[in-house]
Amino acid sequence: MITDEMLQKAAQAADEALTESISSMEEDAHEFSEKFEKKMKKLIWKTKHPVINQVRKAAACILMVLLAGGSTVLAFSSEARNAFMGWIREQNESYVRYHFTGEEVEKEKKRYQLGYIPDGYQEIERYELESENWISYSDKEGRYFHFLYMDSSSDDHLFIMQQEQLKKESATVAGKTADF
Amino acid sequence: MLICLQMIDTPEQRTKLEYLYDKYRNLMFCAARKILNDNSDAEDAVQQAFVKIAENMEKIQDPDCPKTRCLLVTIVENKAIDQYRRKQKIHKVEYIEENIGLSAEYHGEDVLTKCILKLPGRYREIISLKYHQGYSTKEAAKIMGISESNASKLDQRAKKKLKEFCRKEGIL
Repeated sequence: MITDEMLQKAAQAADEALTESISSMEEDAHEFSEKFEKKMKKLIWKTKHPVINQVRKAAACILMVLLAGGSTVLAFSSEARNAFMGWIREQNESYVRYHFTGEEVEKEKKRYQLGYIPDGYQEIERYELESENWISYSDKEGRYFHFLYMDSSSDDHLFIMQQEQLKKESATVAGKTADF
Repeated sequence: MLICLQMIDTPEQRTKLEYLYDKYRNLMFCAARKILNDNSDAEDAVQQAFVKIAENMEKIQDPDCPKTRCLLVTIVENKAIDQYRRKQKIHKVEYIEENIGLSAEYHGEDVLTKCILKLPGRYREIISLKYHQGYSTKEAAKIMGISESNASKLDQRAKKKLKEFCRKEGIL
């Protein structure tokens, strides 16, 4: 008959023999893979910071529940969807950009010309670029002036006037006061 | 797993895991490598063994004593056998008797020890956990990752097999 005491002694001896046998196989230290080291670091970190780990887990759970709940509400309720979109618009109150898709309608380019040309002056040069038009006029004495206009849908053009040797005069265009 | 890790709650126990990792990882790797014959699989088994150790950290009193060393080898052997079975897709109970596990040369006189070393890994593990480490069937089941009833059956089968070996050796 095998008694528990006999089993205890024999089990201990067997375990020790087994462990010794493996220890004798331990040659050079094995270089563990990066993946393994990473997993172990994570495991040790988790055991070292159980509270942080618990908080992170709880936060992740709450976020998941909120996301799942929110998505369900948005999917089924148009009112909620509108309210949500309204909130997003509110966040971008000062900057809402609309994008239109589709083919661009070709616009006919408008051409402008001066309604009045001072006596003695005639057109000597004309540049018609994509969005910029430039017409120069000159008289026999070599004096000249330019008529420049830009065709653009945006207001972001910057006009820089050379202040030196510039004589500014007030003017009106079609009954409206011009800048100069 | 994370829930179990929450059980480690004293600073002393937390550093114990690191100490065990630094001291025994190579030994554990060798044990797993012997069963699995593959470095990557052996590393996986070692990692799973450390998860199990973390879950049962309160059972380890002295990290330096030979008993702890034996326990770690038993745990990693258990995980390596699990890994081996997963790879072979063998989950049936009858394969428990398949001779997977560690082997050792024993030069002592004790026949019972020789018989225990002849046992398949799973049987030897339950004998070790219950009779060398002194755990209850419930505790052994937790370490081995099986139900208490399965651990009890495993214990009975292990003893039956051991008796068979002892009869063959002429000590019963």
